[in-house]
Amino acid sequence: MKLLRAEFENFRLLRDLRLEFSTDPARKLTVIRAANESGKTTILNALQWALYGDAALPGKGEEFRLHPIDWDASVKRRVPIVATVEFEVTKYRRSALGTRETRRRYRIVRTAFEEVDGRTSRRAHSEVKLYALNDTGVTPIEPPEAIINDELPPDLREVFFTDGDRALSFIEADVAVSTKRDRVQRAIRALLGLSVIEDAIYHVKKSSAEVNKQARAIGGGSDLNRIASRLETIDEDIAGLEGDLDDAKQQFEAFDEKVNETDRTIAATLRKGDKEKLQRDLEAAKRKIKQLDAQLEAAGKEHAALFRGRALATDLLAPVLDEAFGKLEALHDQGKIPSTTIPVLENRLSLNVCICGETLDPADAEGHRRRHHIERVIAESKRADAIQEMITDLYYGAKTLRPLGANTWLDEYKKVVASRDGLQDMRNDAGKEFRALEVQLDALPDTDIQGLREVLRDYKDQRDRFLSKKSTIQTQLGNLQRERQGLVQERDRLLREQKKGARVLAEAEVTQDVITVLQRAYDRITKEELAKVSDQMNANFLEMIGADPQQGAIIRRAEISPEFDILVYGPEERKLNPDRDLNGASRRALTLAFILALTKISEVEAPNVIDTPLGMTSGFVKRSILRTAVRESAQLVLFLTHDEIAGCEDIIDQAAGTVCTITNPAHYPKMLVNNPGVTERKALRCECNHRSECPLCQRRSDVRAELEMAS
Amino acid sequence: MADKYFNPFAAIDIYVPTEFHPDVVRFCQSGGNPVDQSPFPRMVDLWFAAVCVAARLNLKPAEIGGDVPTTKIIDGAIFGSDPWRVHTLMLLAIGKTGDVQIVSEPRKIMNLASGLAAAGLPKVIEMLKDGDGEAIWNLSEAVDGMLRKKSAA
Amino acid sequence: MPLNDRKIISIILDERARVEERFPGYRDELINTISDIIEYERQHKVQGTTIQKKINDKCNAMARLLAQHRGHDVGAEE
Repeated sequence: MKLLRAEFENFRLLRDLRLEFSTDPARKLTVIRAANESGKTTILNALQWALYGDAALPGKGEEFRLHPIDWDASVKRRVPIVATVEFEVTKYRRSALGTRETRRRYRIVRTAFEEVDGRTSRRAHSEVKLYALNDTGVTPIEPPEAIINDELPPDLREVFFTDGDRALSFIEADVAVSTKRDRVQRAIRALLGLSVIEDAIYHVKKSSAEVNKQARAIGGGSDLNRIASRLETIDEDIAGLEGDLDDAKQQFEAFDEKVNETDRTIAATLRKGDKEKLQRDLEAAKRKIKQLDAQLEAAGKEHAALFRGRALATDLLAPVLDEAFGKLEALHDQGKIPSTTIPVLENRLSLNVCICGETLDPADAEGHRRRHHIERVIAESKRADAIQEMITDLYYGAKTLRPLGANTWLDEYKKVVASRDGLQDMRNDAGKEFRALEVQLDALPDTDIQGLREVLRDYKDQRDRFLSKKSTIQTQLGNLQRERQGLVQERDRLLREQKKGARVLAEAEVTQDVITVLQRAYDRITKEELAKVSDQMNANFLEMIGADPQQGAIIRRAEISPEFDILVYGPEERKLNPDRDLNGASRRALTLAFILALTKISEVEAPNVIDTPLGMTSGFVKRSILRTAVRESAQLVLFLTHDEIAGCEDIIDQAAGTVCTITNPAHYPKMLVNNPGVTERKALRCECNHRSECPLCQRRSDVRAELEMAS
Repeated sequence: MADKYFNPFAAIDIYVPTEFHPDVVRFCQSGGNPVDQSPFPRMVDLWFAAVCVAARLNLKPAEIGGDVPTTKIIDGAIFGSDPWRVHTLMLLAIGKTGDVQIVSEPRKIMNLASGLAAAGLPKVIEMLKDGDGEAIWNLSEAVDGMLRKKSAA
Repeated sequence: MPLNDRKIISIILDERARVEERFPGYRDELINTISDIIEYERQHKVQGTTIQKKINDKCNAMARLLAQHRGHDVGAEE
């Protein structure tokens, strides 16, 4: 299908606008140049409204005003809104002479009326008419939806009509995987004709069932009857099981998705920190701090003990003590101390040996004499006064106070300092660790890992249950298919033997042959054609972004998986997240690459109408996207701003069959140089192309416009 | 006889000039303060340290009693828990007076010690307060410095 | 849908070679039958038709042809 022209009346800013589209296969591109707020999106909406009605409008048309905002209700309250689109359809049919191509032209006219009352308006349901255009005139076609739904199915609206800023519905990360998969699957199935083939298989199988009934009706032996009955039952069972298998597959996929999602959530949470583990670590850190605090307290007491200990006194008083001991030594030297001589002397007497070694044995004369002398000394000593005793006691008792020369207190102090500092450092570290753990714990989302793990287990169980169920059903199906095969052979053999069975047999064979061909075609499309779409999408995509050194470095390839997921891979087959790892230009390029690949591989002839496809792109990437889109589409209609066109003029020179410019007169004087002389708010068209301008569309340069806006 | 318990100061009270009493209380743990702020376990320990510091710095014993109001901190029986202090005071007295016989006059010894304590207390209090750290560290650094210098005596 | 007529037909044509040639020209006739069936399905999508009857009839016609080629009386249908 190709767009030929469009005409809009009173559709918002499009009061009276005509557009033509290029159908030249050598110049497939139509460019509609328009600055922002000039009506580009309005034209896109108007085209879709013409073809699909209110369902194609934002919010499905509810509360969406169609009439121009500055409509003068005092002149006329009832606003007629009309959108007309002419298009051409090519049909292919098999004939005896080969494939035949026929082209037909149509005009679709959609009309609505809105009653304007002050600020409110009310719309009557829109009406649509379709006409076939031929040499002799126009022929109405009923129902009009038939052709439209056939050529541009509503399911594929987003494939053919793309709002560049929203062109992400196939790959947006915040949409559930199953929804995205659905969209991609629906687009692929629709464009590759899978549903048509599926329906055909279904209907032909029913024919086959009919044939089996006929086989029973032939009679001719209970064997044939029995086999035919059994075949009927088997076919019913197979249909039932196939339905159950589909259900089981869907459930399996749903739970598989849940398992993966939960797994990802757990992994992400664990990366941030396992709450339970953190709490345990926090308790351990608390205990460590308590222990260190106790040790610090003890070390503090040890420090304080330095100020009641002996060392302080002896070290501080060393000079004085020295003098005192000097005096005591002098006394000692004089023999006046120790008075502890007495015990020594008494001890010597008991041993009968003097200190000098001489005998004190009373039996010995000298010994006796010495003994007597010592006894006299003892008696004299005992008569010594208390002072002597005290001094003696002091002399011996204060031995530990004798200065040793070394500063004991300083050594002890040094040890205490090392101990306290060491412990304080450890305490500081423990405090830091504790605080860090607290911060980590606070930062944790309120996620119950344990709970999540239980949920994950549950999902896994369910998933495995459905996997099992799938297996069981597949086994049952396999058994039934084998049984069926055997029975069919037997039945056909019996039919061959029966004269009446010849026709029935022929029908059975024909229907089986048809089913086989259709099934094989279906399998081929889902495998091979899907792979082709995937490869083409990848080729388009890499070509489009290949020039971007930043993205080119991290993106290796894109593919559509057998599960209909659009996936992007980085180095080492690492899956990339479209939202995080792809920039705006790449996300846009990926969606366009998919759409163009699908359109090309399906060999569908349909237009690609895209509003601002090159937004967020620049330089080589912009040119790449444009070149690739032109090459891969059957008919390409692009709404481009001046900025998007900049740098691509040469490509447009070569590829565009039609270029025009749309201007919004409300942009005067800020952005337009000349007064368009129009008071109504309406989109104005001129024939200026991407390289020219006229008094109507001439714009101020951006810099000047900004300066003036600022002043 | 050296290991015989002997405390000639048991019946003698220990005084400090009243003006220093608040600081004495402040810097002792018996006031219930943390160790770093109050390094001395008991008031007698601070008193004794003041005696030692005064002796070390060769300060003249201050006059106490008479017009100078004093406050009793403990009686001499306290020395029973640290008998070496008895000997230390005696040796100190011998060293300061040059008279060995002074050991038989505990009151004289205590007067000398109390005079030294009164002279040494302001110094010790200054050592506790002076510095950027807490009292125990200020004092420790001051004592450290004092010990590293050659003795003044 | 006629969106991709050429594509589907070309794939089905490819499968032609794998069909048993039950009689000379059987394959070609079968492929034609299938094309027609696809066409019926498309029409049925846009407007309700008696699709099952149409497909039944198509298969019947093909079967009749087969039976004829096998030398069985076309009229012997009951």
